[in-house]
Amino acid sequence: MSFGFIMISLGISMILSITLIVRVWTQRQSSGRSATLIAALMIAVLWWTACYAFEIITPINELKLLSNSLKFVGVVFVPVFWLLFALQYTGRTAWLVLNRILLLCFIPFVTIGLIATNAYHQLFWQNMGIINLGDYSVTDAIYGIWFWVHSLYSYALIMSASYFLFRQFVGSPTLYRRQLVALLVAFAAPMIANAITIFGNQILDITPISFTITGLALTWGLLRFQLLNLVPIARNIIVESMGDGVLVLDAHDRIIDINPAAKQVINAQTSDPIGKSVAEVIDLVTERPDLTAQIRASGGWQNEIEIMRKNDKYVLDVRISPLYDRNHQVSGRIIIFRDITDRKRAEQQIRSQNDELIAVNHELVEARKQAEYLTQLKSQFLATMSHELRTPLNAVIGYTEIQLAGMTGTLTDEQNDYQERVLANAIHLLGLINDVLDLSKIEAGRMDLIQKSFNLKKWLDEIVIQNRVLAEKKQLRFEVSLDPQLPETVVADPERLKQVVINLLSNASKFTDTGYVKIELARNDADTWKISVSDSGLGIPSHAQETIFEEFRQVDGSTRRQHGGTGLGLAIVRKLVLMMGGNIRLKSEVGAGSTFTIIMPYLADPARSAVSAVAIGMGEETV
Amino acid sequence: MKNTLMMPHFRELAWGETSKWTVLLVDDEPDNRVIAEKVLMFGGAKVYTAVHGAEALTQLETISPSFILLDLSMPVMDGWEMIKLIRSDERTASMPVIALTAHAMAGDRERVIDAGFDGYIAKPFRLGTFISDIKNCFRELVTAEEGQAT
Repeated sequence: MSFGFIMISLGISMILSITLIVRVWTQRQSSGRSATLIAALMIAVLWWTACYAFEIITPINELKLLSNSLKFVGVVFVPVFWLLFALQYTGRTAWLVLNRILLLCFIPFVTIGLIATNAYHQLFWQNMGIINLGDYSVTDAIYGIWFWVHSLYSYALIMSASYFLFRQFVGSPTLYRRQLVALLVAFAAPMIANAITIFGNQILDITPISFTITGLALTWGLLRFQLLNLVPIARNIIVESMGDGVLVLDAHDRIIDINPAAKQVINAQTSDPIGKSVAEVIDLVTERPDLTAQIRASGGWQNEIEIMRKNDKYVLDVRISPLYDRNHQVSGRIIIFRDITDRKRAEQQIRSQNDELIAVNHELVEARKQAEYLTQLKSQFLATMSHELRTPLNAVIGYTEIQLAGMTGTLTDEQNDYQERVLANAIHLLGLINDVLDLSKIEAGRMDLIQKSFNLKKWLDEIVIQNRVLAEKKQLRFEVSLDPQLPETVVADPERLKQVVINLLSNASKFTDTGYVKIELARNDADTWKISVSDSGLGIPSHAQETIFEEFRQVDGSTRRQHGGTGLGLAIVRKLVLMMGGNIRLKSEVGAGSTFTIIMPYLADPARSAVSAVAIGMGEETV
Repeated sequence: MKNTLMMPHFRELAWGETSKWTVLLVDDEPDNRVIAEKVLMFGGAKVYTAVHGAEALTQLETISPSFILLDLSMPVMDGWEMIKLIRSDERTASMPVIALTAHAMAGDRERVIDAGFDGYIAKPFRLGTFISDIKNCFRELVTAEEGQAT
């Protein structure tokens, strides 16, 4: 080899090294530890190359010997950095801890120490001289025992690195394969050169020259395949920072890769799971023997499993997919764990809330049924009560009246008086029973109103027939007025409305001693009509006007004794009117009589169509 | 509605002499029977009594009353069942039947008329108006039929 060729090779190697160092150093932020390790490796290479170049160039023998010794500072660390890089590159980051790195550096430091003190023990070099190779001269030596230790160690590290890279090569995507080819070339070149130098009795060490190939291969890989960009970044982002646990197993179910999330499911005692059998590391596998079987099964598997961690229950979504090599043989498996505890919990919560709603709904339905049943029961009770109270009253009133009628013979005045009182009280009791039951029925919501069309004049006539007698008995004028503007028929519940009006009329007669009782049916406005019942009676003082529609509120206590009545009539009247969609008003002055006015809405006849309802409206206009 | 051929009969009952009445009184309560019977007999009517529907139906095999006063709640056969049987038997289908009942809550009158009764008198009835109440039932029927006829 000519001096020029050697110098050019070494020059190129050094330039490439410097380029790589600068390149990866500027990239170290994004590329992480791989970049730092490549930089360290290239610095060691650069040192080695530089010392070797200097050894060849310098004419001074002492300097040649010195640079030969200094060269080893680079030489010893090249295999260490190679291995560290290979570990980092293939994702075995768990090995890159300080005490392991220091352990790896133990022999290199010893080597450096022995080289520095070789003059005293010749363990590294037994003898050292300078050999002239024509244009130039280099050092040559007979190696001592430690040199072989050093060489063996270096080869062992490089072989390990190659093994990891080769393992990675198998079953990697094409892009990574090319990266790996570049790396393997970069590894192989100096190894082969070194082997030739040592075992081929080559005086000139061609290893530094072969670093040119290394530099070229790495540069090629770096530029062409983003050697440092892709793998670490992709792996970091996708795997390391993944929320899902990723566990890669080889064909023998040993863990070859694991990300931090997957470590959460690992036994607390296991600090370093790489290389260990999955069954001894992941206790969920021992907890769930079926999983082990699934892991061994060649097909993919996916399921949700529950595990206990520190007394907490976790739910994991586990997917196991086999990894195939080029020959479609299963080369390992990837297990992905996803913690779906929160999702499950949320689902559970939604489910239980849903269940709760269903239960509440069911309760409500039951409560409604119960309420309906109770209303039904109450209504039945009221009907029975009414019947059972009336039946004995019929006997009381009947027997009393038979005696009063003289059917059982003549009564003494006293007997007659007492029988009259029995009768009056029985009749009052009957009124009370009627009213209380009516009121109860209204309040129980069992007063069913019917809506039907009825003839106003006929309806009014029926009322007049029943009430005229009552008024005329007290020598009162009974006045009736029917507004001709009113429609012939209206829609309401005629019976209930009649009950209301009769109640008002009988009150009017009851509380009027002279003058008149009057019923008047008239238009109110476009939407309503009115029934007024007025009298020229006692009148109701203003303080009582507000409470008179309440239960058991008569004007005063003496009223009942004087005029009878239950005190419930007006309460029933008002409730019925409101139920029918109407309203009742009272206008009264003490001594000047009272006027009760019921305002009733015009309702559409439910039995007729909308068209005829319009026709009724029109008729009302024309009448 | 009743056949208009019934009208002369109703008219007679409504405005005619009480002494011409033959009444079948059906009530399980002895007191009610005594009182109603007493009042009717006082008016000159002939009164047959029965304590429940089944007994009344047996009586109807031999007698032909002017009308029936029928209680509703009774043992053995109640008024509701009896009116059904009366109306479904052509011999008695046009027999005037008035309910005499302590079912006197709102809506009871309508239920009674719907069941096929010709009239409704609530208990307790008043002695002074009992006869006229009965007559009023017939008057209403006559008025209704006249209204229908025109």
